[in-house]
Amino acid sequence: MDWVTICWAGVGSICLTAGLISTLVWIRDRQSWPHFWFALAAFSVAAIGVAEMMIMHATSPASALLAQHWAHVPVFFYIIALVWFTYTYLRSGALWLAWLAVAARALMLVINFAGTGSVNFIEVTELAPFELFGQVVQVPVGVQNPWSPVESLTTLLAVIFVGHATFVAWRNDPRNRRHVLIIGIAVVVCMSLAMALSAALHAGVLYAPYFVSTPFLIVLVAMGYLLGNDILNAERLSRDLCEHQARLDLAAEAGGQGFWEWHADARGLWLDGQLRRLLGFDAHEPVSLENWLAKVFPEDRGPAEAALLEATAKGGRFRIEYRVKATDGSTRWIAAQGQAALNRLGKPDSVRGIALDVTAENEAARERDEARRELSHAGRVSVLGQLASSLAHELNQPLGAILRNAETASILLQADSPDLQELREITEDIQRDDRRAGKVISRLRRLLKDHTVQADQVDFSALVDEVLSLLRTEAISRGVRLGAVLTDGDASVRGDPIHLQQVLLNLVMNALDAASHGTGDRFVLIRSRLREDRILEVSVEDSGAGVPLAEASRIFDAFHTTKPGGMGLGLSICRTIVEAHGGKIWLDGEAEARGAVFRFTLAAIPEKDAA
Amino acid sequence: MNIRVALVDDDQNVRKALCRLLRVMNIQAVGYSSAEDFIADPERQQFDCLLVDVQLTGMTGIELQRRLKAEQNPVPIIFITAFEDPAAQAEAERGGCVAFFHKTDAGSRIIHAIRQSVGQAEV
Repeated sequence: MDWVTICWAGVGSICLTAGLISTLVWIRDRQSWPHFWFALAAFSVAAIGVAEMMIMHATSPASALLAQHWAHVPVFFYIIALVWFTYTYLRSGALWLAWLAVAARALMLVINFAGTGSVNFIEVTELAPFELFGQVVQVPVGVQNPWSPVESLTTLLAVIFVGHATFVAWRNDPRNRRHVLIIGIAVVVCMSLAMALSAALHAGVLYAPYFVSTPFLIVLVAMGYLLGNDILNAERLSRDLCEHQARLDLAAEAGGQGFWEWHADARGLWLDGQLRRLLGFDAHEPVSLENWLAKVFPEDRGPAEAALLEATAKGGRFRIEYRVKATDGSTRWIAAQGQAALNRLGKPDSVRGIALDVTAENEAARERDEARRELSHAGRVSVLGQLASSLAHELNQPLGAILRNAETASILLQADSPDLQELREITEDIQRDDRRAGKVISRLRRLLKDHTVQADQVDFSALVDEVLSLLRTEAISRGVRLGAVLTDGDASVRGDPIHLQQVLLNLVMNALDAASHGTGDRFVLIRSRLREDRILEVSVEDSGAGVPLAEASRIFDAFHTTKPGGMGLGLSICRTIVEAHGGKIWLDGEAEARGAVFRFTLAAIPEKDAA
Repeated sequence: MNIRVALVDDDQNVRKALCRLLRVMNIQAVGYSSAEDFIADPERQQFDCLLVDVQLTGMTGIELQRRLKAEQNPVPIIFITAFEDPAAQAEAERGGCVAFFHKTDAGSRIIHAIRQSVGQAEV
């Protein structure tokens, strides 16, 4: 076999192999368009090589012209592949220029097939022998088609497109300049060479066999180099990713966190090892949404599933807490947070996030709440103990009235014709006083009940009224005027009514203590004011001697007291309750008042939400 | 003889009920809601006996007792309280009250004390 055949066949088979590999890559990943265009370019170069060999081994001018004629089909595809490879690989270039290059080349193809001969030769008159690698090959000689120089120039459009795209990419992406330059220089140099070569051959200026496939091949090699480099990069990235993953796993394990991911379409739930152990799944057991939900406590199932589905449907972040029964039978609290991931269309289709065991934290929070509940209950019992005699008075009044009325009734009934009208009035009065006593008792019951903390909508003004009625007698017995000036606006807050009442009760009790030791006009005044930022500010002001400066910083501390026999818990409980409601409590040192002014804040419910 | 008593109590229901009982028992009673109101009444000298609550808004029952004593008004005073307050009771008794009752004490005892104070008690 001769060298020409060996060379051209070798090049052709290499191109076919490279093309096939890239085709496979593209079939596996339809988004990798550079592989597709590279494959097309490779097949085109192989076909051009076959055509060139047929020209060199032609037996007649007609067969050389036929091969030359058909060679324009792979050249057309090669130019298209080159343009779109550049466009998809560099992600730059002027689209209109790309289409113009393709359109011009397509026009040449039409001219090639429309007229006689090819776009280069109207006719091949003879075959001239030429010695190549010690082998005689044929060079066609004939009448040049006037379109032939134009044909060469159309290639220039593709070269300009690639040159421009290269320049833009070089300017925009400083990290990848080397790769950009490789493709840019290869295309501009080799394609210009191919263009000049073909123009010279067809014009009869150059007497040489066809070898345009050679510059085409060099460009192909440059393209292949870039793609190969990408594969190497991908391999290195995946290795980096593995190391990164290992570090992340370590960190997650140290933090007690696990990773999870859920895809809406596959209905499958991916969990890492940590989370599998936490939820009680085996290392390789497949986990579906249903499997996971089966582990979740029935009460928490609905909200957990809803949160996941909503994030998938609408996107965004979410956080849920749910309980599971651990393998050892204990109840574990899991906090999971996730964020929806967007697909190529920008729609959320999956959710990924982390989850961790928050049982210990929740347990601690529960114990803290429990302690707060017990302490505040003890505080209320203590306050009511101090109020015992005035509360007895509150009850004795209606009871005394009831007794008098009952005595009167029994005397009236001894008469021969009892005064029924009077008796009717008496029973009505008895019922009224009975209700009055009932109210006092239910007020006490509410305060004494060791209740669980609630978050209700509380009408603060009604709450102040309740405290006023509870302390009215106490204030009278101490000779202190007790009053309130309340905000006109709707001032509902969210919280526990009993605890909030306790705050006010403690503050007013302290104020009554302070005021009753004072002289002159003895008063305690409750004020409430709705600030512009929808914060309700409540103050309790007294006419006492005020708080000594030295005490001011410590009065909210637990077990700090200035009262003989005091526990020093009143203000400390107030602070705990107010802070648990998201508010602040302080002693106003700036206020222009005779005695002390205590203030606290609570967030008012926005008007539109208030029922 | 018709007995006339004044009842000073700031609790309207209590006042109404006691007045009603006294009326049924043929004792004329006039109610006052505060010690100040009673003092301001120009006809207050006409009563045979005073029934006074210890705990009153403004001037207390004990203060009223002192005031009348200072005026050398000899009208007998009976205290009726809703408070459990031994100190106030001792004070009232030192001031010379004829009786000291709780609101939940039997009405018959109060009436007996009234009659006794005006010298009409059946022995």
